[in-house]
Amino acid sequence: MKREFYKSLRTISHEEPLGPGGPLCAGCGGQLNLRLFHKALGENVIFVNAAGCSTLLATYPLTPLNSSWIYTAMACAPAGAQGVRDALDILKTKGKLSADQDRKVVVLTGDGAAQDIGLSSTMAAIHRGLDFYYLCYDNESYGNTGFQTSASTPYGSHTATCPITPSSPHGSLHEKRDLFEIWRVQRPPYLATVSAAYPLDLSEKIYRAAKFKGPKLFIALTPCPPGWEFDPEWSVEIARLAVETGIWPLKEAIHGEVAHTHVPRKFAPVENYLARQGRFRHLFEPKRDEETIAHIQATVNNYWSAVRKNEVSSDGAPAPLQDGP
Amino acid sequence: MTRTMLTGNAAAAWGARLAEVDYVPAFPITPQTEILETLAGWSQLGEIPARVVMMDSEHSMLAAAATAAATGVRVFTATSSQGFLYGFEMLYAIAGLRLPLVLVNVSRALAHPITLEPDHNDVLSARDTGFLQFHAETSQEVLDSILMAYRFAEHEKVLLPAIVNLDGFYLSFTREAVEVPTPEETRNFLPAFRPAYPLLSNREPVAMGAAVLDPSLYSYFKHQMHNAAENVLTIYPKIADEFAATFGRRYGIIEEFMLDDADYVIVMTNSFASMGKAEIKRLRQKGKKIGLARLRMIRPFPHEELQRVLRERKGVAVVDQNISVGKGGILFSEIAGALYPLAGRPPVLLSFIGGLGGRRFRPGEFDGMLAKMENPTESAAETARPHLLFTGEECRQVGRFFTIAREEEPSRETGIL
Amino acid sequence: MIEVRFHGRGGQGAKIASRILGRSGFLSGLYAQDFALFGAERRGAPLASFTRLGREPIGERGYVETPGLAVVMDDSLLKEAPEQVFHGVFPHTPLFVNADPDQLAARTKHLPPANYIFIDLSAIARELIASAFISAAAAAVAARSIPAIEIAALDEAVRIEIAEFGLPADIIGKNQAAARRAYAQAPIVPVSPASTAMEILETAWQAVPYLGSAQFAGPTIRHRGSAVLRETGNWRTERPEIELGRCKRCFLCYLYCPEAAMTLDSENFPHVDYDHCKGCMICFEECPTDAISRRLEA
Repeated sequence: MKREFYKSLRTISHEEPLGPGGPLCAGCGGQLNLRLFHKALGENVIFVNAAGCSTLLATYPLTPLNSSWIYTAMACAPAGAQGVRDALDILKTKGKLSADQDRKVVVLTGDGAAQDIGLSSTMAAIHRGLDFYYLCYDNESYGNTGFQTSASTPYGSHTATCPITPSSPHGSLHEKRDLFEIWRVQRPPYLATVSAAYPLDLSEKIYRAAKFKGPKLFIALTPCPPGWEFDPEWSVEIARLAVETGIWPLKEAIHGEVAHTHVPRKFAPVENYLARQGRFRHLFEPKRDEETIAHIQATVNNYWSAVRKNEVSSDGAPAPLQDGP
Repeated sequence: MTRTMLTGNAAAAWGARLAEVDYVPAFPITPQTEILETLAGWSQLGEIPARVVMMDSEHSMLAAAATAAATGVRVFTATSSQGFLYGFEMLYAIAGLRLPLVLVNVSRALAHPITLEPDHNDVLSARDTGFLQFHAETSQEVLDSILMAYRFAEHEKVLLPAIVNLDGFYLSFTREAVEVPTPEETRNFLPAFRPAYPLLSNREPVAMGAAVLDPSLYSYFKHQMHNAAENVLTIYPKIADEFAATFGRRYGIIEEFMLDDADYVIVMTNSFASMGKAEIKRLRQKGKKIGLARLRMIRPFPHEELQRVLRERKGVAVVDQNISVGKGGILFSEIAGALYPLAGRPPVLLSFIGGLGGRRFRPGEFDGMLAKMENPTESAAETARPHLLFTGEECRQVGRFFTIAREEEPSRETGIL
Repeated sequence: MIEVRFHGRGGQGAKIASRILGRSGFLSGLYAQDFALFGAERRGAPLASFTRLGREPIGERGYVETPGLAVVMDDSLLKEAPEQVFHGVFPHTPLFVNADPDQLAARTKHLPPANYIFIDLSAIARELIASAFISAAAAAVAARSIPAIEIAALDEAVRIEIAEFGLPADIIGKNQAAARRAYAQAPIVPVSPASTAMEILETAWQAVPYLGSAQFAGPTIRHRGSAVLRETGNWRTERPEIELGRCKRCFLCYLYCPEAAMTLDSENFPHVDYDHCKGCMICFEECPTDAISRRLEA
């Protein structure tokens, strides 16, 4: 993707709308995604939050945010965003809120809320064309409650509700449900996947999204040290490997038209990503589960084969996919 | 002021219109739909400035109501039964966030069995949430209660959301005479919304609904809510006086019907009290000293008013149009709690359950309730339990339904008589 | 009834230690109750777990305010979380600390008075289990001072509680060995029973009036960024150190810090905010010039 604004790391803001002292885990991938997202968005934000790890950011009397926040419940953050946006517009119409006091309304949820309990209210908000942002931090589980299976949990992962037993040795046998495609069906003005290991790609996408009115939706791959079982220092590396192995495509969709924004020159084998995480340990110990590893690799290969067939890259040139996975 | 004919639903829409509400998130459900359709129509025609937004469920509707109130506008919405329960967790959220708004519930009995007829299990399930709760008998009272509800809810000593309840069908779709105030008159009583404290639209950032993990702190916030609800009792007389002075109608916390010299009192709420009052009149003509107390305010619970109205009576019968399955009438239990410490408490306090799923009273049932009050024969254990009103004729009707449903002839063997 | 309190950091096994002790008591025929506190705090954050044992049904629940015996599994908590560790601790309270016994005098000089016993549980775990997992050893030092618990019950308790994790038999055996070693090394100390440990103070009921201030009606925080007051630096067990001479000012450590605990000076050199750094070490991993090293906290 040719970046218009975020051409070097120097362009990333040094403001800290998300300050220190929050109670989330050391190395939390979600918090890093939120920090970079918030820098690109600026301070003039009202977050509407659904239940998840991020709910604990504001624990009375402490908040790490230099922006506004309201926690609603678990299923209804997009509906809450509707209420905030409408009320701000009403206050503007009545002359009680000046244009410079206006805010961006941002829904902040995990994948559990986005995929399952909150899918209905999200689709409705997109359908209504609500002018809002959505940052979904996807740690592929219900993280806050101890890492249970969600519709985002990938094939082959163990979770607290899908433990490895003799009769269930492969982990989850459900494919990770494609939230990007679900949201894309309604052709929102802007939709993108991001990874904190690619901060320029992430920041540029927010910059691009800001040009649109209506739903601006982001899904951020979120490495989770306690849930995915890795030492916190690898949090960014794992966010990088997800992209380099082709498991996490970095892409955007403008009014539903997809373009990939970063394509690895050479794809690393999915094993490089899986072997770093305890939630996939059973694929390697006590012996290699070739079947499951091959399945995961095949899924990734099929995805990128289809991309090669269908897409040009976002600057108009044919997609540079000479070396496939 | 204009005098016209309005259904309960139309009166509710007029209440919202006169309150000059800013925002109406909506989701349709029988028997409430007419309220939102009316408001949506007015909004489309530009007759009201309110923004009406169709949401995707009642849970979403109440979430949008909550956050709009939290941003700083006057919010109105309406629902019923299944929808009321679908969004139930948001009721606790709205009250806990101390957001003033008015929610009209059009009472409808809860599935299962699924029905469209009214009773009060839906609205009474919210009695613990922190919402204020007012019950209306007539279309006039619906309109008036909404205006008063905004005054209570937005009062800085209260800051709690309020429910105004009206019965489905018997009031929601029934037209009767209503005096509709003018916008100017209404503004004298209910000025434009001014938030009592900084909200999300504030210049400085705020974090609302932060997690509260300290037990004492959580308790503190709940105590504050309780105190706030009780404050309504303190400010009620002044607001009722203002309302009377502005519109010429006076509402007490309890409507006292033929109570002056009544030995026996029937306690009811909502629109079936109209039938109750007719029965009281008929029994009075037979020389019985009986009256009816219609409870208008459910939350806060008016302990003192009930004690004042029921003390020294010979007998009280609470007619609940609700049932807490396995226990009995909800209001009966609450009233018993208010009367227990009272020195002059009535020696006879009985519980009757009628009106479930819209069941109307049968001829003679009020006579029967009075007879039981005059001559209580049951043991203490029995008296604590509710009488479930049902007649032989209804049994036979049920039998006929079963026959058809089972494609069988009625007989003693099949248990259908 | 006696009440034991374990102090550790999230992820270190304080909960398992309380369960091993609880199970030991249970297997020995005592009434037993064990639990851990789950706040919003995450891995690395200080937390506590509890075991109550008695010959009568246990008449108490919740936080152990005044432990008859306490075990501090992570010695950094003595300085980093004193309000938790020393809550309800008196001069006679046995306070076992996972630390080098030779350091006892020096390290307790400026701490509140208690009956300190330093035992290097981590060394036992390293030697016998080849890991940092000290739950079995921590439970064992407490069990030593509870006569009703025989070593056999402790042994069986270790087996049952560790087996829940589906670990292989040899790991269970190693944990049992660690428990036995710690049991042998631990002195028997006098444990105050719960009833004599505390005076009953009068509870003065305070009627809370309606404050009348809409400002405090609900849980709304009006202090932007107030979380800076939470010094999450005390979560660290190791710290990153930047050698500015090697730093090329690439910004990566600054960008990749999830905590915003890396600040930039006027020349854009990074500095660690040690009040808030949780020690995740992402900066150490991502620095392309090896300008950041990692060091255990003292």
